Amino acid sequence: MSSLVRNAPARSGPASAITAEVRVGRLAAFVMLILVVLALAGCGSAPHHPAASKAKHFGGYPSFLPRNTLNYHSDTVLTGTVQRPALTSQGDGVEVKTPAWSVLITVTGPQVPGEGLPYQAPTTTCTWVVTMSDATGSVPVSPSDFSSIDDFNHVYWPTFVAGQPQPPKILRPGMKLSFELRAVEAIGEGLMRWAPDGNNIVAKWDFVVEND
Amino acid sequence: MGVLALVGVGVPVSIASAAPAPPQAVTISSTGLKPGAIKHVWLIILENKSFDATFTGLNQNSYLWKTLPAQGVLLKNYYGTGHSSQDNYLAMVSGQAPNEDTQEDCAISDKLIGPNSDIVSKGNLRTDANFGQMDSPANASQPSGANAPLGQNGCTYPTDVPTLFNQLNAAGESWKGYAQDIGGAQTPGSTSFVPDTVPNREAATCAGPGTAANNPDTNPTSMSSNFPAGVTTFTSAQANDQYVAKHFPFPWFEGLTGAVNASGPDTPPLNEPSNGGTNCDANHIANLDSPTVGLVHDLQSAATTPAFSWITPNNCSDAHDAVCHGNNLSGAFNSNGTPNYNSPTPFDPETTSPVNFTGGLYASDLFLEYYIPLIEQSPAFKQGGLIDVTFDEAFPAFTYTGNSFNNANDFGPTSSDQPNFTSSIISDTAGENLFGRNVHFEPTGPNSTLGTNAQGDQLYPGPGNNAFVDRPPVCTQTTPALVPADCVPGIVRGGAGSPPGARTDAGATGSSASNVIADNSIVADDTGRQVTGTNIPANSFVGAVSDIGPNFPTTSSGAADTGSFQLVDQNGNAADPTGPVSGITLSAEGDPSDLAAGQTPDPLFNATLPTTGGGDTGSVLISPFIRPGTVSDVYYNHYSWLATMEDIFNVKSGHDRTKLAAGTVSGGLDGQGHLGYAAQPGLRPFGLDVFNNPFGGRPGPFQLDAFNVVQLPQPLWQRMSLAVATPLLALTAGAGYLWYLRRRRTALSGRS
Repeated sequence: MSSLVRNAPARSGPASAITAEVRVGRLAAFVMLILVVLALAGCGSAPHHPAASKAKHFGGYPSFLPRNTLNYHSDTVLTGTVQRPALTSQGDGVEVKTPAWSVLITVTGPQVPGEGLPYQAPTTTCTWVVTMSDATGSVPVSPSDFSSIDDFNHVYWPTFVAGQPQPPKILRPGMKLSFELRAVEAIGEGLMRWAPDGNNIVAKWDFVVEND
Repeated sequence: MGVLALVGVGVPVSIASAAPAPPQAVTISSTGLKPGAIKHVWLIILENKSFDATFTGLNQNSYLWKTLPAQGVLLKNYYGTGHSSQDNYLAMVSGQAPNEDTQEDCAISDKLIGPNSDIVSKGNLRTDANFGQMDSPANASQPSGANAPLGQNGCTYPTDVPTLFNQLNAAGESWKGYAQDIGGAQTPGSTSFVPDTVPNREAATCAGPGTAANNPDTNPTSMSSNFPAGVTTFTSAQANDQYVAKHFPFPWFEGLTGAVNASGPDTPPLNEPSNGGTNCDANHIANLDSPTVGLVHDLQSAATTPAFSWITPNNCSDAHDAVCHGNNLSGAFNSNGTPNYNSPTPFDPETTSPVNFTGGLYASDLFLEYYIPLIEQSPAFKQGGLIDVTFDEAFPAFTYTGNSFNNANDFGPTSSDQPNFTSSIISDTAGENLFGRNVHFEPTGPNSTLGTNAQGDQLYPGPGNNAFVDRPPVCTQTTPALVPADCVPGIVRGGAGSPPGARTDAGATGSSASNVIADNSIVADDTGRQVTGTNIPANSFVGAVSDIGPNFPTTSSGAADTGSFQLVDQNGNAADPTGPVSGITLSAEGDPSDLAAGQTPDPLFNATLPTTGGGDTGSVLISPFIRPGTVSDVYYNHYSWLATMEDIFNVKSGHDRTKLAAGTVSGGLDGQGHLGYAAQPGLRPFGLDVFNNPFGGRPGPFQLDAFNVVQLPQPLWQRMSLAVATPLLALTAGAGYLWYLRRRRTALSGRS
């Protein structure tokens, strides 16, 4: 190709247009070459997921692995705000963010006694475990800020389970806490909700009350 | 459809062609893969969880439960071969069946099971199902001719019992055994590898228990007493060294370690690695996190990655301990939950400080989340890698001994799992596929046989070791004069024992306001026991039990789950205490048909059902040769696994044909390279249900045609990878440009 270009007679007018075309062709060939090199260099690897864990000295993930499995935590820890409360399943964590602080909070449960008994009551005692950690400021803590709601829009106000240490009123950075809440609820679906200011819900955990 | 058979020739999945590609075929191995397709295997072996505990959400271990199966294939019926742990590890690498000492994790002494002459060497696989098995000489003194009790058998196999690693040596394949904590346990905050933190705990050859002077022939390590200074246990984790030798198969075979016999000179191992060194040197038995010979070091290039990597996490990270004695890696993750590979020491998660001490499947998830992304991103994995995450044995799904956090009956998918002998027997079930048929049995071997008395009661533990089923007190009592002739004293109990006696739970609390008694000691099989104590009404019993977790204790003495039960009366109706409750006593349990005064029926009592295996654990495999998100229902077990590995690495092509007591290293017992019970006639190794993308790369259609696996034509866009398509595009563009120049030149010449 280059010899052809070199041998092409220099001309004005149409010839200069041809020279321009040659330059465009050269450029196109160069671009193609770069593409080839890039393609070969990236062969077999998926583009690195921006949030995926990064291992120095290693390549990216192979392309056959489903992309949505490479950042395991992205679908388990949601972010909840007043503007956009998180809706997740019981047992999963939520990173709640407010202008003043953020905190990782998990609600697990309910623990339900009486399963497998000959008679299943329409309601049962439900116990949830609330854990909070990774606070970045002073996070208010009050069992009364939790409420649950069932399929029939009945709202329950679980109470602090007696016998356990009282949680601090404020969770500060570096602190972790765990406490249990209890309410008697109807069997079926429900949502546990947290409104740290007593009014605005920031996170909701879906659960099922089951005693059969 | 015509088939173009390209025998032994690889067919790349990405083929650029304008015309539809004809179907192509390759000769398949038993696995459905062409020989050599899989070049690197990483086995990560975890501890003591049933399929229900692991893969149904019961323990909130989402990475293993959800994420990894989405990347590969989930084997729903993968079975351990026995209880408890050690016999499973040994079976995996040698095909040897258990004896009572290996079933009890070598709790007494690391002595030799017997000489080579005790290997069943007469006949062949067709004439004797136990051909090639080690027949414990201690059986000779037993009425049954088998079932010698704990302490009499020994745990170490003589030189003529080969292992998979001997076969890899002979086949020229590299291998390495990695374990957390061996030869040095990284301590939180340390900035460099700290060797030998607990001297003489695993200083024996190949990281065996005890000092370097350990010799199963002449000086076996005592596993229960006379510990070296600083050692408190060989069979459980210590805070500063959570490695346990019972979970690492290498030191238990003199075929790997060699031997010094009492009356003779050194007996060398069967062979040594083809790439130099010895079986037990630092290049073959390594600390997982060693900066010079550890996993991350080796993953840097395919050339430094062994063909086969055995990975044993420590007793915390393998899900064994409910509450960890030491680091559970919970401090090795960033605030967003991703692994922190850089602090404080790069790629050494045990130098971080744990934020809790929770074990079980929570801890194993942390381990897997940390290491599997590293393996998946390594060059070797992309060159035909296979990651295999499995367990040694299954424990019941319900909270039985504390290392499964929740009750199965809290959750829909496993609501049928109840703490009774039926579900316990299921936990002991065997499974494998013979001649294309799934079966619920496995060979017992010559040492742990099954048998019944005239009443149909099982006399012996079998491979399942009665791990979860109590046996008739008449056979388990210790007064010899009262033991019937058809009960074998001291052995029939196996791993479980007699029905539980009375128990006091001092920490139980309750009040008149609720029928729920808080009791962190309660477990599911306590259901039905009578409850007595201050303010407990007469005739009260343990109703449904709830254990929920994991909790996240900040010390190693905390509780990993929260337990409670409903107090019920004799009719099953809820009963409230009459006042505050502080401490309760549970009644003794007994044979339902022969209850003594004060006993309640034992839900785990049944003498008539055999305990045949190690239970369904499930297993996950990830590879370019496996379609993500697939499932297999075929029954497999550790023997199938061994046969699969032997076939993947084509060990029968190895050069070691020296005749052993039974078979050879490379030929195995069947001439096809299969050792022990991996050579069972008709045993199915992992097949196309597992390696369901046999041409690798982007999954495409295939079918079986006689002895070939046939790749079917795909649409062009599916067959054309970027690496092929881009150069083609460039060539086409270049050719077009040349054509254009030629035309222009011709035009200009004509004009001039």
